[in-house]
Amino acid sequence: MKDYRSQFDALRFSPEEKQAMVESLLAAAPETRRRMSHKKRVHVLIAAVIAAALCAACASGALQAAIQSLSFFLGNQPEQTQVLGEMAQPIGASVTDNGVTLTVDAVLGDKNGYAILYTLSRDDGGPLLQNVDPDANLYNIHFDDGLLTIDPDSDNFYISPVCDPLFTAFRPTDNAIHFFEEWIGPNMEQMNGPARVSLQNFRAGIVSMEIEKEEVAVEGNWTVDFQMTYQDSSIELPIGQTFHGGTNGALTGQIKELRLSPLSLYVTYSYQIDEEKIAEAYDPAMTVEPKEEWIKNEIDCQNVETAIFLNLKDGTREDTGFNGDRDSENKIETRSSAFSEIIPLDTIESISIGDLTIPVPQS
Amino acid sequence: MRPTLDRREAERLVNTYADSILRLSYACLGDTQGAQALCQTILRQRLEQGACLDDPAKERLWFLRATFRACQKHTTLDPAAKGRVAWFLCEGEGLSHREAARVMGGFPGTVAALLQETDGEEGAR
Repeated sequence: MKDYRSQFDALRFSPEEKQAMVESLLAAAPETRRRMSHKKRVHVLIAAVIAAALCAACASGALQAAIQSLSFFLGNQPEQTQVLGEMAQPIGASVTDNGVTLTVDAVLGDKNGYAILYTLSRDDGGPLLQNVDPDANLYNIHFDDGLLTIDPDSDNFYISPVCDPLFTAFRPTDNAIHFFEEWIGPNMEQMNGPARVSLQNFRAGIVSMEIEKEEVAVEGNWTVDFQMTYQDSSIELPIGQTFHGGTNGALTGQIKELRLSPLSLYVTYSYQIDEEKIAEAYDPAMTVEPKEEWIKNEIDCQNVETAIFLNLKDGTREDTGFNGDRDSENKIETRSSAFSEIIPLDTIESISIGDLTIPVPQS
Repeated sequence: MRPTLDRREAERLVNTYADSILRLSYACLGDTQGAQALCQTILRQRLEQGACLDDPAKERLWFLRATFRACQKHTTLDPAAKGRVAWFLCEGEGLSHREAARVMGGFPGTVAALLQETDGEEGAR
């Protein structure tokens, strides 16, 4: 504790560095008195029309509306909307404040995480943003604050900030805006149960020929309780295989856990690193680092350099990225990757982890 | 009401939050390389968003949360880094477990467990 405290206490910017930051902030501040010299028009893309290939069980109007919004974020190809229709659990819980209603439209998820779709709309049918030039550009759409709590009344509640949602295309004349928040991580099975979302003050920056750069607010405090339930579409894949990855195949891993859903991939493996193989790859012509330092840095990078891909049936490959956890002491690596769009499982041929390829069972 | 940016406000933001951003980014990343640039980015983000955070406690949480998420986008945080972050938020910044969970995302119990492990490591030194 003493060691941590002294370490942190010693960390501070110098007065000169702080002064430089102040000057930089002032230089970067928006110029509120300068008029735009050119008229800009926002070309807004509207979400694609839902494909006709929705399952018969998903015919309700509320769910169709939710899927249309979700498809903006998660993909609008027929096979993608089909899967969205199967996964999305309609909720419909709402609360109204100041003439504006927040609705929790739908949730979907798997063992790796969840995603929630919301709508904010004005009750009188008018534009959500009031007294705004219909041709104005909008930017920096956000809430002042937001929080999602799972099981809020228990001692073991889970909290997630709602601070970086994705918003659908939105025009000043629109009555409603849809937004989407996703959270992926290990051990998310316990995310089912009573939930509470709280959002405060909706804001958007506006720019147009007639008005200076400024901000418009929809003030409100919205707190709504709902039941967070969703069907997990994950499949468990075979485990126990050995693979090699990293520099010169220096990393040897063994799969401990592997599961896949249309939303995400989760893999855990144990690993060992052969430092001699890394040392063999050292080339003084390619680096200015001394050999020992280069080897040490390379050891730290072996997991990152072990690529994990989805091999799709159309011949393309999806890189799953590097999000995850590492237990360096016990040499266990976990990768938990949310896909940018829904990937129907029947479009995936196999998963590659280093030099290992694991076929995806076809239903 | 949205605060306007004059020199006084810019100095307030820098003097109040710059060192905390530096320390939290060190807790996450284990070094201070790029900390000044990160600090600049977070402060500008605050200005760009124009979020009206009249409550000092809410404003502080906003800065800590924005810094933590920026560090998460930069790299995977290993358990040691999470322990440092939990210690810094609770012992350095005086947050409750609940508030720290709000910054890091997750369970207050997880924050408590991280602190226990960190206490054990420190005691052994």
